Amino acid sequence: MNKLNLTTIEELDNALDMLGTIKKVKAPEAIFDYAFSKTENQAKTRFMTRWSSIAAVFLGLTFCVEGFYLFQSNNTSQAKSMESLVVSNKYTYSYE
Amino acid sequence: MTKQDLDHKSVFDNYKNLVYNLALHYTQHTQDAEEVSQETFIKIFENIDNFRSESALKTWIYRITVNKSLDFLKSKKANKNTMYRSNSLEPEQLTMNVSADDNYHPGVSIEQREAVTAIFDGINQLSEQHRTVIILLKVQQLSMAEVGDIMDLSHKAIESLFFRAKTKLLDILKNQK
Repeated sequence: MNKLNLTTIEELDNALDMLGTIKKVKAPEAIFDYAFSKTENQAKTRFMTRWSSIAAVFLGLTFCVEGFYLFQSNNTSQAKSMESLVVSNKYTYSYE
Repeated sequence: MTKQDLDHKSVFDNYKNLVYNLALHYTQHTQDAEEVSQETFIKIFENIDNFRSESALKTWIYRITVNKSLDFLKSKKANKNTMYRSNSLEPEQLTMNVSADDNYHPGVSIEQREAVTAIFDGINQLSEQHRTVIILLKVQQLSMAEVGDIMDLSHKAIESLFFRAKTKLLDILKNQK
């Protein structure tokens, strides 16, 4: 035999009605403090993560741009020295 | 306190009892219900700015509480299984220890405790949807329409889900010793 002695849906319906009489319990205030401080901490962490990724991207881009200019200026000065070499060679050969 | 902090506080004051009591109906344990309520309010505070309409807010809070309660029970069950494996206890031994400790709902009167505990023991063995429809309709005493909004199902679907949940629960209770 089962604990509640239920055999039909109607009997179960009556038993379930008992659940509606359960008293409402007052929620502890401490829930707010914990949830609020954890939300704030998570927001701070998200803020820090977002800005550190932005800073990392910015630094990376700066590095790339600097590198590109350095490479280009190197190329230009190399080209100039090659040009002067060619010119000087031209004069050298023309004397001969 | 900033305006946002006050908004959070007023949402908490308006819905703290709803969230806590619903979590209690799922967990039947005060500490577990507190933990579920904390997780629920963290989720609410993180996303509250997206809500303006009061009715949508209530349904949304119900949904979050239901999902957090079910997630909590799932992780608790997984932890119990791990404990069972690591301690090499007999499953019956573990179930007895757990239910003696867990079945404590402070809203239940002493006269009704035995019967309500037996019903909750049965409800705890139902699937997530069946458990939710019974808790929302019979314990929270919401209307079919409200439960439909929370579970995102039609009135007809809620009716048939409720009937199937009761049939299943009756089978479980009949076999309960």
